[in-house]
Amino acid sequence: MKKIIIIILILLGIYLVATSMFAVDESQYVLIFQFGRIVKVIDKPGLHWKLPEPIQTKLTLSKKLLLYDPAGAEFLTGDKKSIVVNYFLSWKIIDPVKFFKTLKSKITAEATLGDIVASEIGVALGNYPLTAFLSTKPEEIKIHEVLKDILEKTNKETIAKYGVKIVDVEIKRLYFPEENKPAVFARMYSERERIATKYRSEGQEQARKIKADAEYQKKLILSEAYKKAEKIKGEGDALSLKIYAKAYQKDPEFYEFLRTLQAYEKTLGKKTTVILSKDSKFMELFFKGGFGKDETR
Amino acid sequence: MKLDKFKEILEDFKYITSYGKKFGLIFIIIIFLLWILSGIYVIQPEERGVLLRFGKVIQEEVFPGLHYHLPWPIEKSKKVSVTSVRKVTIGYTEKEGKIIPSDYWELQRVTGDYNIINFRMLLTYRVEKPLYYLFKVTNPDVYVKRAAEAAIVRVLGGLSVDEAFTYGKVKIQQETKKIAQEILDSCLTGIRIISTNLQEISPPEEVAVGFKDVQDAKAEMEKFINEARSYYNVVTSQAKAEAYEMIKQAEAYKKNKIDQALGETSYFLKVLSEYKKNPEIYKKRKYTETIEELAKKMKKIIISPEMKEKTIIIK
Repeated sequence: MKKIIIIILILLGIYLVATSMFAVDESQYVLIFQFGRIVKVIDKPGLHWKLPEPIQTKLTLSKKLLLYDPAGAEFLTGDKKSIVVNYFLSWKIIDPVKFFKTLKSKITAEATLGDIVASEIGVALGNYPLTAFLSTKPEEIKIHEVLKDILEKTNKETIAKYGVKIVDVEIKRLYFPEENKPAVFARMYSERERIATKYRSEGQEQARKIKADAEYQKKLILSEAYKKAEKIKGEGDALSLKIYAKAYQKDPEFYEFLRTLQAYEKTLGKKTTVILSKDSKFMELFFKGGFGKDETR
Repeated sequence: MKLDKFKEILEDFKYITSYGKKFGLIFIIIIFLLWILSGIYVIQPEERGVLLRFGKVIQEEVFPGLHYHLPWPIEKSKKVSVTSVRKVTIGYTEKEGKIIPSDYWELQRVTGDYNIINFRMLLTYRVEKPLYYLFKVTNPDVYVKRAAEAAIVRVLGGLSVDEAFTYGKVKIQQETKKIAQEILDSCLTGIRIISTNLQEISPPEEVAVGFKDVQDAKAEMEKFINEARSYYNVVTSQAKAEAYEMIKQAEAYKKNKIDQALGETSYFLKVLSEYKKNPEIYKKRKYTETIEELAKKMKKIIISPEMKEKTIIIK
């Protein structure tokens, strides 16, 4: 009997120690309940004590950042374009008591936060044109500001109401609604056609311009060359004339004489028939024999 | 039956304790020593550890080597590899080295000029801060993918499709890495992105023909232009050659003219000095010589002076 009591006491002791001593992890909050009422919040890691169960019970909540990644939803932008937005948000509990009193669990928290963020995104998208999210002009894109704005607005509500801080809201995907896809592809296709046509005509235009330029250059080069050539030839002529003039002016008469003889040499030849009069200077001696009488007559 | 067995065991225990209390003590000491020794742990060279006492971090970074902590449940260590390169694939999955593209929902993305494109990226990362990685975020590895996707939305949303397909590729990689890292840093994930590699960026099947046609058109344009350029080169170099010829000919003409003049005048000057010695004789001699030479060659018709008037010369 005595032994049984000792065994019972030992077991009771183990039970008391096991339910009153506990370690709190770095990433945990622990709420201590006494008959269903929260009496203590532990947010420091380490070894802690409480009254044994069932007087005091504990509940562990995560301190870690949690990722909520809901399915996408269709929104309407300020310029009445529909777009499917997939967003995700990361959140963490900063006030475990408030969290427990309002949201209680991760699942309800995610549903609630999802709704709040989704409606804020809806409002924000409605205030901006689509070009604030998709644009080739960097100055038009406002995605960063929009998300920051959403974060601020939602946090005002969630921190005060639920003890939850949304650390980040990001858009992980922007896409066209399913029913718009054929139209998007058709537009893309016609755009490609336009660009292809542009390239082709531009190619021809450029080619023709280059060819015209070639012809122009050709004429330019040739006329320039002609000009130069004529100048050179003229120089040759002028210089040769100068040389002639310089030499011949020493005795013009003699030059005339020589030049005439040269002209004869050049112009008269085998094919020339000369008709000579008996009384010509050339025939004078032939006929008159130098005696002043015509012997052949 | 059961009670009998229990009694038997109890008898055995009594036997052990009565006959070997010392053995029992040794047994307990051995168990205790083993418990104490269970605190020895090794951090591998590629790992970092975090040391916890009753869940509280008492050492943020335990470096590689042999270490000791108080045995469970007082202290424990958590280890994480900080050098191993982890991978995240976006737009596809890899199975046994085979690439399986995801369905359009994950594969396709939208550019700044509202074009839908197929997009696949491989992202590698490693754990930089084990403390953050282990305690600050649930599922940090999933966070990497989400952060990268958010970054891609922003980067592609600012590019035209033509940029994205050409010179924008480097920008996509760099910007995605930068923005994703910012997101990961702001959420204290303790993760460092090593690289972002574009695996595919291409038009979807539905419009691939159109994009191909643009490529062809571009090639055609270049062909046209190149042909025109070579035509240009041929024409201008021919013209240059022709010009060169013209000028060379002119120069030859000039040289010829001058040489001719110099030749003729030097002949003239030589003869002139001869002539000066006795002009009359020279003149006569020269005349006669010339006429003689000419007359040799020519056909001659001699007429009487009376016929002179009646002769008609036909040229």
